[in-house]
Amino acid sequence: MKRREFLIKSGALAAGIVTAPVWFDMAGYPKTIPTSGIQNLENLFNISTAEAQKLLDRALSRGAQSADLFCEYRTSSNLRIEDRIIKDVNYGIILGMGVRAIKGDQIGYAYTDAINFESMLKVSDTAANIADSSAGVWDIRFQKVPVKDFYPIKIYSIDADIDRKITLLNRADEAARQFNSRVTNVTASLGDELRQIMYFDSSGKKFQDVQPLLAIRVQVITERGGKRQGANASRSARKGLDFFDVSENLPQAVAVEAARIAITNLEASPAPPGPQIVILGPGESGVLIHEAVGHGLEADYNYKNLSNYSGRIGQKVASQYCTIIDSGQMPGMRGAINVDDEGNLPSNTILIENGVLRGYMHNGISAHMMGAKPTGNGRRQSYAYPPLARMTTTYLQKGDYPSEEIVQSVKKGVFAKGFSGGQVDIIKGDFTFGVTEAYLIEDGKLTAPLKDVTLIGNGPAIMNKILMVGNDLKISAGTWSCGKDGQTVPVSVGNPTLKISEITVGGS
Amino acid sequence: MQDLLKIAETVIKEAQQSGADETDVLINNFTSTRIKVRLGKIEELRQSNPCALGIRIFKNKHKALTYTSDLRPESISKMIQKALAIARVSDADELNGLPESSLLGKVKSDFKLYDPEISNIPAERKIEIAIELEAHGLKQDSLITNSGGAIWNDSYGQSILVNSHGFSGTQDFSSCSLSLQLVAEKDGIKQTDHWLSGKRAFSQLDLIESIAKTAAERTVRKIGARKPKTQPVPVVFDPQAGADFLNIIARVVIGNAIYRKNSFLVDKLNQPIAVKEINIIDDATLPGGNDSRYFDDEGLPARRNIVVENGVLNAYLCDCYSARKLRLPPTGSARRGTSFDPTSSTSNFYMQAGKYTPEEIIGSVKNGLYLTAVNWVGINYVTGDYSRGAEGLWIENGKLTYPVQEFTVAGNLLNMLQSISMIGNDLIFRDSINSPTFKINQLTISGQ
Repeated sequence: MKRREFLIKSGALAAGIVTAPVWFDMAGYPKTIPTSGIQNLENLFNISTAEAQKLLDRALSRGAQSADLFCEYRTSSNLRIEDRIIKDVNYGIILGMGVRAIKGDQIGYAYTDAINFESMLKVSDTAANIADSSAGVWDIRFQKVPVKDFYPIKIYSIDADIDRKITLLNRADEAARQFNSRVTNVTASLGDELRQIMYFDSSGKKFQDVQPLLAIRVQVITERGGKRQGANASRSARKGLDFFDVSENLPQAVAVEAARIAITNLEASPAPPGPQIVILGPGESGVLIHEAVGHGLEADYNYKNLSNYSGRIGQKVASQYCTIIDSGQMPGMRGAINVDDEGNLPSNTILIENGVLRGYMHNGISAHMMGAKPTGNGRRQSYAYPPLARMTTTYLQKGDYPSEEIVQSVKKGVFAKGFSGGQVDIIKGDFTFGVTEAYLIEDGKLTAPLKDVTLIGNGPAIMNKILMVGNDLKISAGTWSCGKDGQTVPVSVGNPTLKISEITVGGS
Repeated sequence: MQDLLKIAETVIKEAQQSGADETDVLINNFTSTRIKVRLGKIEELRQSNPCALGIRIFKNKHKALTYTSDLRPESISKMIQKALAIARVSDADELNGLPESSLLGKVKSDFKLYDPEISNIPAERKIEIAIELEAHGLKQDSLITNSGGAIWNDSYGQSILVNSHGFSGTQDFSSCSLSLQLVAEKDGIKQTDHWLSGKRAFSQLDLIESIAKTAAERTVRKIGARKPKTQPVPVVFDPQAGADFLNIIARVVIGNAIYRKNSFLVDKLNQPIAVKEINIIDDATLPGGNDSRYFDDEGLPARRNIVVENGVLNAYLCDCYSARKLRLPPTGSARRGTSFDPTSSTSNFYMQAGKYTPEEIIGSVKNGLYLTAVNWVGINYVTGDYSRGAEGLWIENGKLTYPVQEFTVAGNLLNMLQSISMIGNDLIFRDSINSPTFKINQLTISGQ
């Protein structure tokens, strides 16, 4: 009956956060919002500790156990070249504040993109409705979270000279076309964003962080005798434009990679179907780790007993050669974070050690529910969403074998080098991942290119079939984005060369 | 909300006065509620009212787009100036520009896309409904042991488009949905599935008993799943697997994909691409349709397009830019968000129903697969190669027998279109993309 009570009292929820056009409500608020560059978010949102205390008081006013405020100011730009001309030039700003009130593992969440205190109070009241009693007295003493900098940058790419970015795209376009006359279409885009966030919570944590993200993507179409083939390549990092000065990240190199795969795949034949020995190349194949292991070890699924790894800490869930880590601390990586979106510092979390399940990735609520320490994996897509337990950079630690030796050990099998992404059913553990560049292995050598193919297996079953691990760990610099419960966050994946003794190959 | 329309009109005026040749503005403003309950308890109450504005300007055939969620006049002015400033780095493209004035317009009928009831349902009622839905699901079968949660979602608001050719339109939309994810367990193996009902109007939602029953049936029927043998077999696509198949077709019949050659249907206009029993339609004028509208995102009236007629590819769906590029008529198929340029897209996209009952189609298969779900990876849009992680039920002697999992189905999409042999009479408009049951004569199963 308690809920009923809450329900009746919370009728205000339906009326919404704001129904009036509050964006006209200008009085007393900053008159200008600069269009890029670093902001002082306290000034921008007009929130200092006094206002934060007031807003948190309101969020806690109905008896929530904790509450937080998340302010975000994000600038993004995107440039796209197609048919040899710069076609799209986009630029935008989103900004807003989300308020969360927490009671156990129940949350009330509301946000506003109207920057005025009255709207902020309204969303605090809305979020407060998750609870249904009265508040205690909260005297919050805010302390800055001691944040390290895993993405030090001199000039953010969003502020860099736009003509320089155009030059980079032209180089990519040119390189793909010069690579081979069979290249008929090239599309390349260069996107960047600067995500500036500010956080306060009822335990007194506060921080600000500036999270840059840069990405280039090239798509190439090739044609030969009426047959067409396409391929993509990408690079992304939390770095400035000098990221593209490194030889393997040169826009030309990215374009040539896409063109090379598309040309190679013009000749590709269908992969043989059925279970086979598969070798995964280093880097991009980390998508296996992300799907087969990573999602299932996000703690929010585990405290609800919704993962095939639930309750299996201490059990053997992979071969002895597998040690798997999630680290938010890898400098400049797409998956790096200085601090998670609820004020916890990122860590190097050992998920699996020599095949034995050691730990989960936590957000604040899952850590609370499981009596564990937060691991700094509470992430959100934007101020419009509450944080979930999410991965950062997830990879399998390197082993002993040179990659050549691993390939030479296989008489007949498939070598999978490039990947598009994957999917997993967390409850049963079945996962798939899409291979976009693959070759047949015959007598220890790579031979014919194979068409796009899907690999399918069950998490622990396949992880137990990893028999050789290469000494060539590589973290992929691709534009990996992870989706969960309607939210997308940037992540990184990594792997050394791996030999799987048997996995089903979706050939025809 | 008259004020938003005024804002949009002001933006056009200011942009034109600042030197733009042509301008359009899109404003989206929706109020949404999401309620998730799990095991009888609220897990998340989320409420939002996002508003965003996107400005597209053309100057000397150059183009730029800027957007902001900050709708204060000063901030908007800055975005107008920013658009004009960055447009210079784009290259002039003769094909750039707003639609010709003669193409602009709105459909005047009432398609029932906005249900005023949704904004009046009290939050406690929504929570109650989600809790009831989950409770119904949990008691459907003794094998059901856990719940992934029941989710209520609703959204209502408006989309406003104004351009410097004099087009000014507001369309009101609403939507609501209820979904339930269940977990069943037997012999230590867990299985999960979910079911969802989503409509424009609250009164059109499926009954909670029916959603709960379907979610439970879909979950429990997976218990005891086997991995099938590797073999070529006939495959019956159920309406969900069929909708996934049509979703792929939706991505390769659009003008953007065609002129970028990112489609296996390039150069196939007016040619037979499928067996002659196939008719595929894109209808933005379907009353109550989840993707119906009165005008598209460039201001062209919504319309019904026959994409495949008796197996012949009859039209590519085009926004104005791809239409100019392909020298074809635009089809009212422009779709954009506030933060990105218009692209071509389907609306309510479906395969017309055929004459067979699903039982007759399944009954025609001696040894084959009834495909109920596929994973998202494994499609090559350029070549049409198809290799998907799949789930389903095995058909033996015309009857559904045991569940199957952990395998792939593979083939080529063009070959698949040309080997569809029986089309079901069970087309239901559940979603934006819908399909009846149909059979494809042969695909490769890769399993054991």
